[in-house]
Amino acid sequence: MIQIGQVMMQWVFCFFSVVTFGIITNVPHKYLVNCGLIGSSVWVLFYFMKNLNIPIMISYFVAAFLIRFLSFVSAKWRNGPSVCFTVPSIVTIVPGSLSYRMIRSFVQGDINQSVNDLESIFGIVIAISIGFLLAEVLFKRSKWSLENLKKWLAHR
Amino acid sequence: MTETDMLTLLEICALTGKILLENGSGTTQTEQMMRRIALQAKVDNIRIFTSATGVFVGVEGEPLFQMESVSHNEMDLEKINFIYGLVAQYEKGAQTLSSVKTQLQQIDQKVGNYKLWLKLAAVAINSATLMYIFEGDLSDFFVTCFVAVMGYLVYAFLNRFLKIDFISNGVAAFVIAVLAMFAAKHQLAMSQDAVIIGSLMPLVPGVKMANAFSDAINGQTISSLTSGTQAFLTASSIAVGVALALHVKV
Repeated sequence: MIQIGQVMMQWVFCFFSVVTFGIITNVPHKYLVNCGLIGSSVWVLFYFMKNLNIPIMISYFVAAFLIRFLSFVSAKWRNGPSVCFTVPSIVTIVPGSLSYRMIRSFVQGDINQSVNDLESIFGIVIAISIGFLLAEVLFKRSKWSLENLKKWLAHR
Repeated sequence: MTETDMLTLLEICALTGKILLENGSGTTQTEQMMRRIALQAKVDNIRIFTSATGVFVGVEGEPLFQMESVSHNEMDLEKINFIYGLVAQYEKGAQTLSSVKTQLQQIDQKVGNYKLWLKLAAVAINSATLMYIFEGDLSDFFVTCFVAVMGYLVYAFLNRFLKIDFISNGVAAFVIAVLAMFAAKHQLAMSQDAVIIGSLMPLVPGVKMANAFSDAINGQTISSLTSGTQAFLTASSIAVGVALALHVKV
């Protein structure tokens, strides 16, 4: 069972990690709080999905999709580039700990475990990029994207 | 449009592409940005080729051509934000071609706006919070702060003098792993793995990896291969650093 205090801790810690990663990559300071809200809210959702035993690839896909989509929305709202919001928010769902475990098992001679980890890293990275692409298509590229829909509504 | 104006426009396009690519923007967005500038100047037959290491711009039917090579250093999203604002102003007609050019040259020379101590504090808090998120123990908070700051200092110091990302990442990862193992051996840290993972996170090239895959899906094969190779080299240098440190003890 998930405890509410633990979830709050995760949310606060994730907020600070996203904001500080924004400082490391030189995000303009007026966007920092916005980035932190996107990253930490999506991470809490991801945490719930992980604890509810939803397949891990699907939760990575949904998290990446939501991050990209919310970045587009806030870029529209704040009149900035969307990459400023995506780069800090993605830091918690990049498979860093898995890559470290892969290296460690490789060094200790457990080749089976390290190949297993490599496969799941590859799957996670593909899931993240497909999530990004889907958000981009929904928001920007296609004929039925939100931007075009808004223009059409204004035209009516 | 006279020939000198056309040349200025091409220079602006090439410089915009260079700054955007150097600081972590994707290839597709960069091309879009350059097209927007050209369209505003009423040049609709511009020809653009971008890859992760170079930008080429020319105009069809004119003997004019510009190129810029793209080198990679620290990421600076402030510059991308500045260029977006500048292009929006130019589209409204508040800027002329020559003023845009001088501002671009100024921003290209600028160094990031956060001070080093603020960055070090950010690195410390970032790695400590990530250590907790990746199932570490809360009692390792300050140890992780210290280890991460030492690792980042080594990285920044080596990067300033060597300017080879590959070596400075590897040495920084080695230092981080050795310090974490030392702390775990003397009962200063509960879990050695969580401390190493947290401290490595500011060095991991996650953005480049994501850029490489999204470029591959968009059909930009050359730049996806280039940035994928860069991400792979950086990641493997970190891996070699950590592996060496783990092997020394094991």
